[in-house]
Amino acid sequence: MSTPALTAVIIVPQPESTLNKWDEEASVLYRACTGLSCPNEIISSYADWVRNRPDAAELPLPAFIRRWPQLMALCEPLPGVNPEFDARRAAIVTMAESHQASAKLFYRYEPVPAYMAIARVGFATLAELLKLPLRFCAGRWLWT
Amino acid sequence: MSGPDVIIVGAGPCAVSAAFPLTEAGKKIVLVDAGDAMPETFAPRPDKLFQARTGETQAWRWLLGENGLSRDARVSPKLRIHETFESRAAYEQAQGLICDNFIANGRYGAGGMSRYWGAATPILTAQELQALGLPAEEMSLSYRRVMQRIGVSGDGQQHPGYEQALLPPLRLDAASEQLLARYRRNIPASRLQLSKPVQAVLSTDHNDRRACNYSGACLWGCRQQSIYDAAHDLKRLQSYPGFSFLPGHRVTRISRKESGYELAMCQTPGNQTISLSAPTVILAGGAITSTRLLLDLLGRYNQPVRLENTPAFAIACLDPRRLGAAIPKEFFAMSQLHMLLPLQDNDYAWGTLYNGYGLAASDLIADFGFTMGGARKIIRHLMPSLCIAFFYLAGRYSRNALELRKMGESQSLHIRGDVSDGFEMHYKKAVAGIKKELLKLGLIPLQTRAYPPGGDSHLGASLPMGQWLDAYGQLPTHPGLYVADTASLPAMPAKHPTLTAMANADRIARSIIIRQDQR
Repeated sequence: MSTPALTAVIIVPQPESTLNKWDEEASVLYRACTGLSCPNEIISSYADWVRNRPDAAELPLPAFIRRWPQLMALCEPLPGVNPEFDARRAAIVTMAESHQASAKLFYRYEPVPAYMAIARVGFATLAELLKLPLRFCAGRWLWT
Repeated sequence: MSGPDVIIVGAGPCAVSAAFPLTEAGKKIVLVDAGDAMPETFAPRPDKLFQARTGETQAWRWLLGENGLSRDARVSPKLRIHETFESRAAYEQAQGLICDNFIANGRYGAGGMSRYWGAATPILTAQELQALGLPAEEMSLSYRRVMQRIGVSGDGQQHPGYEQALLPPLRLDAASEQLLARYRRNIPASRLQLSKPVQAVLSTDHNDRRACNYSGACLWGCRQQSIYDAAHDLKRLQSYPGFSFLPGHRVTRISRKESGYELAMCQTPGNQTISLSAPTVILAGGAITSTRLLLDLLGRYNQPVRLENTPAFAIACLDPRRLGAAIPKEFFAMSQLHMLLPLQDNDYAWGTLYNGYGLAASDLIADFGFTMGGARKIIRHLMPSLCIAFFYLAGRYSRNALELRKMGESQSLHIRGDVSDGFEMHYKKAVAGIKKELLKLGLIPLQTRAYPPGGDSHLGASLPMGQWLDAYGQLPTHPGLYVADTASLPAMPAKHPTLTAMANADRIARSIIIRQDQR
């Protein structure tokens, strides 16, 4: 049995990468908005965009949101609670709206019966209203 | 080589409107502007809005700007398209502007603000012109000349006297046709007056520009060049032998000389200073620029002057009859209908109606306050039945103060935005009246948003004719120095002022020809 050779390993300290944080942030926000996994173009666009902002710090995304982005629907901050979140939310929605992977989720080019449109709007509005108290409490606690 | 007969400052709609009659009369004209060397064309983009929204992964840059710092939800959506960001920032910086509760939209460069305007060009009636202090007959002639030059579409039957000057109206989309039909059935009961729009958009080919192809991407820039942009006129002017365009030169000071006026100009980029003289100078670079130059010439520092804007507000409405309808694949995305609500004392609120689907969904989602996912689902279904009514009140309801401050050699321009006494009550009455009338037409008002001073981009009446200037825009103490943009309007009407300011510039230029020929 031969003696294993000793290998010297030099660890070079790396600057803290913020790009990965923004990648994750883009994925979480995009999924929360569309329910889809985030295309690479949007991840890189978002990272470029955030890097240019004066406040390029990471958003305080809670650990459970990172793991289950859909839960954002229950604790997404109300507008004004975290202005930086508002700006990034607007950015990801704009990017999602103009990307072919998700654009059809924003615009409807086929007619549907009026009752169906009313039912869908009514149901979505009711769901949003029910979420409001939770968003009000959780949003303030998590995002400020 | 002799110098120019006339120097015109600015490269927007008023500047070219003043330049045309003078150039055609054989005068030597130099048009000076701080902006780009050549009229740029909009970046190539897909023709149809559907493709623009889905086939262009970089489309977000047009809405957020390259760095995303300029997204300002407080201004009209058309002011948030890609070109606006850099030009607004450059303009503010060059002017040394310091604004308090005021949005100072401006742009250097060929075309000026008409690069991204709403293209609504209402014609003021003879009574409205007289009330404003403008000569109705002369203005009527100038309106026609300008309309025929730039291509204005509208319903001739609604505008007696202008039938020959108007191109056929643009095709309305189904939602607006239905609304107009409802209004026509309801006319005796309606205080709100609806009409097909008069707008500087081509319904037929005109010169080298093409008719609207209903791409729906109007707010993203018109590839057809159907929407009027003063850069089109600037290109045409360059074919005249007596005309020259001097871009990249920002006029920093005007001084009086024996033979006329000398303009000190700063080259951009480079900051090299040069000068140019002419017996006649026309200031037409926008109300802020013209007022600044004139205040400096007169040495009127640290004294505020009045600057009017037309207080604006938007009412988002739902047309329940359209629920379930689809977004059409072809439509014109700017104002579909023009609206007027009479108020007390011969006053009125004037507005334009946009269809919701011409706007970006993200803008509407941002306003909703719901979660991203929830608001997206709701907007997707509501968008075909949403419309936005933008309304404007007369400039007398604004009370903005513009002041050129001087500290040693440095100058700064301060604008403080405010509204007049009694504005709140007037505004509330107007909003309540409009909502009531919209309900009568079957529209459900959802949300009202007032724009801050300047957010409407209709600035002027800071050097009004009849007070600062004579009836032809000339500064009485300085013969040969004229102001021919919105700054010289006696007051700002609630109706969009651009066509009126262009017609006034045409009228002023013709008066200069007569005065010069008489000499």
